[in-house]
Amino acid sequence: MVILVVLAGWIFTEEKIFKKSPSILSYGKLSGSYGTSGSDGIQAYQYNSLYKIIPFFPAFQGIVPTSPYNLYNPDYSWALKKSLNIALDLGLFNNRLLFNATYYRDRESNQLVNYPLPIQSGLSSVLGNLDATVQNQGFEFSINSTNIKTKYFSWKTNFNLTFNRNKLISFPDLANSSYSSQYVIGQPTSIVYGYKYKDVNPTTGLFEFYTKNGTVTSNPAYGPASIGGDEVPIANQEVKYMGGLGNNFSYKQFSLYIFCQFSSQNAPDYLAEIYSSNQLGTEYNQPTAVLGNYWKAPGDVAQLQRLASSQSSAAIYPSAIKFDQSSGVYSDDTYLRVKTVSLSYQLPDVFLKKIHIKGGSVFMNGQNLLTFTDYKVGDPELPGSFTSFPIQRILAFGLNLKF
Amino acid sequence: MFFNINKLALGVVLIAGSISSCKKLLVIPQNPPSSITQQEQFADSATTMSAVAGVYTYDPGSGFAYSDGSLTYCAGLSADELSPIISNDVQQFYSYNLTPLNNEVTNLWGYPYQSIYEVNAVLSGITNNNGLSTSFQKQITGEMEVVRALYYFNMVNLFSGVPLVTTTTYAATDRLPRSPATAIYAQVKADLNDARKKLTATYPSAGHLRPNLYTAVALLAKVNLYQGNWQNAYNEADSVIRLGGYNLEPNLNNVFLDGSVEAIWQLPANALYNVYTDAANFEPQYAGATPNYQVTPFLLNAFETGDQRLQNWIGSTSVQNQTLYYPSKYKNISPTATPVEDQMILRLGELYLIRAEAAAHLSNLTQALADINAIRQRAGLSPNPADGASQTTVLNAVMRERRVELFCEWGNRWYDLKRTGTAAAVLGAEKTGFSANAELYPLPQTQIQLDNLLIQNPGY
Repeated sequence: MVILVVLAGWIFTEEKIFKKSPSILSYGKLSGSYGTSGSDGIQAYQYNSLYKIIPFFPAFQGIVPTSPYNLYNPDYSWALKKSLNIALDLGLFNNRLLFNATYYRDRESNQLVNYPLPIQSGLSSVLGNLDATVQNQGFEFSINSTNIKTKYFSWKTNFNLTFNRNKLISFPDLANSSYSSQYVIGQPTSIVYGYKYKDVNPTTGLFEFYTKNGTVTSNPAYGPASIGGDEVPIANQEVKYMGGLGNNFSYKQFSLYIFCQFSSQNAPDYLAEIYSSNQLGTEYNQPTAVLGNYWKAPGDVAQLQRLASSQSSAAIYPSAIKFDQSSGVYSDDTYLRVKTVSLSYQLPDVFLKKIHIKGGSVFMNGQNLLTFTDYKVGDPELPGSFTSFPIQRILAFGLNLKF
Repeated sequence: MFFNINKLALGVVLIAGSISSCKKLLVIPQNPPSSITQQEQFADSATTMSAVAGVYTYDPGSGFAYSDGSLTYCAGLSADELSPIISNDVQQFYSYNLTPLNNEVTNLWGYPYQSIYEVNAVLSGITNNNGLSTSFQKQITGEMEVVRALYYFNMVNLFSGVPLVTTTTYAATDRLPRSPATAIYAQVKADLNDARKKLTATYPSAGHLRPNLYTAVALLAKVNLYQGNWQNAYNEADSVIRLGGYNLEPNLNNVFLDGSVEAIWQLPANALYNVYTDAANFEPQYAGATPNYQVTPFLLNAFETGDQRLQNWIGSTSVQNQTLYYPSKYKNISPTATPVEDQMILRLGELYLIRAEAAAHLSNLTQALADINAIRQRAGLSPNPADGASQTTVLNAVMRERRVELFCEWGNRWYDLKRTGTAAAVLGAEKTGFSANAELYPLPQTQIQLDNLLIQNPGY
């Protein structure tokens, strides 16, 4: 295992050309690195075939039972990661505005994974190396600026933005592996296979999907096209872009920090949870978004399919579970959230000396105060599960004293 | 190496990993603190018995498959024994609209394979093992073969052909096609015939909790019966009945208890609360509670008047002024220190009916009727008259007796309907939705995606 890293950096503003002519550019650096590293973040001893005592079960006729808990694979080694990094740092207006742009490209191969196996092999996965190469490449930008700086007042802003794209570069013999119906070479590893959704048929009232041939049916065939089914890649859950914006204000003893984060991705929405475990007709609470939105009579154009006397009625059940694996349950998940607002007041020294305290401040913290989004029902930061405990809005008040 | 060119910094870092010089500094223990390696597991007979105990542990997935009772209620719903009160996944068995995503089907396929892996692991661990005596190796090999035969027998009856796995090397088993049903049956019989040579009539431990010679013979009788090998089935059932030393329990309520004299092979429900899952699945949890499954009117009407099995093996409860009937062969739902009821795998009552059916097919009607009547007498019924009996009427009587004696046990009714070719006629008349394709369960969707050589059963 050889680890090799090559780094280079060039502060070009130190060159004579720059030093001679004044410009708004006070600092500029171009840097890059290329390196290889290995990773092995796995449990120890997995190269042996191991047995463990079956937990929670009493002895069988006085003998403590054990069972195997891993499959025997003695031949695995480090995963290899090759990283390329190029960055540009600029400082303008006497370094009051700092700008950084980075391009990175990581390629990981010979990965250590729990390779999924069919259960006939005895256990559902085995630890081993996967001869696939996955690439993550992207851009990261960040801006730090000191907007105003006077004797008593200052305002600083920082902003960062990330674009990351994941891609499966190579996977020898993908079609014959356990991942054949999950990944496509040249696509991100986060693609989802499912049925291409059309709409609710106004005559039958059932969900309709496109088959691989383009015909329309309420009962598409299971499995990816390679084994004769109608499932195609329908969604890519990669984050398209994400970032944060922070503003820091301070005036004499007061300081105010406001941080917002934003992100955009394609994610499952509330319909994914409704049509998997929360179906209309079961004894669970439903979001108001479904009220009246289901098909009632021939000719209706509705968002959701018809109801029946039971949610597992043969008339509606098959198309309902297929809808849950279709593009119909994915929607855009873009949001901007005011994540943190923190206001604090530094207690003045005069006051502190009187009560013999070295330092103190009073503060008020707010988290998750405001969210701007079009994502319906549920928290955009937790897509696809509106029944789980939501991210809470927290307001905290406090006093900080140093003795 | 570090070149300090004024404005240009270039760094090269090279680390070559070489651990050979460090070997003496580190002593790595052979195994992590809470597990042992396979070599240590099979080092001597005491540690080997831990692995064997694992095979018999009452936990599907890490121990004995089918100990969660799902075979009983799924096959009972598919046949005409049970109807569900709670819906979702089990409803699909009843209404014949199973999908490959059904969770119960995933477990009916997956748990046996996990248990088969454990059995194969024991077999490979004890073969040619110099740390174990020959007699110990023979005994354990025989027992494991019976367990493996039981699993494959049930798999082939639920799904038809399945991948045949007899090794623990995952590289050899992760891409297997489905072997034809004949090959699976051949493996089952090979295992049982070899077990017959290795096991003795003496049970290896207290009670009838591990297989002995007659367990292998009894299971073989059932397999031969299903294949239509009447003479073999007759001989094998006959030897178990005459030589096994078992008796029919005269009291119906004692048949399924731990220590029952009728048990050929039982499994103790050694779990957190020592309650056998059939009791937990079927009995109402408190007075006035709705049971999870109801016995169908078809099964209730199949009992003759005066049949004590209707009194003792079927429970009834009144819910909202309606009487609901549920299977009650296993009744204990209170936690106990040691299990009161064990999971009955093979019992003498079934062997009588196997001998009866084989005898009827061999035109030995007297013997067939005698066996049926032994079961009837225990149930408090008058014997079937012999005069006017033809082979057809005797066979019908046997199948009828199987229905009321073996209901809600190991899917017997579902298997019987299928193997006699009467499923379509009987179930088609009683329920809607039955089709020829419904006789086989679908292969789990996830498995087909992981092994693309597996072909789904028709109609799914």
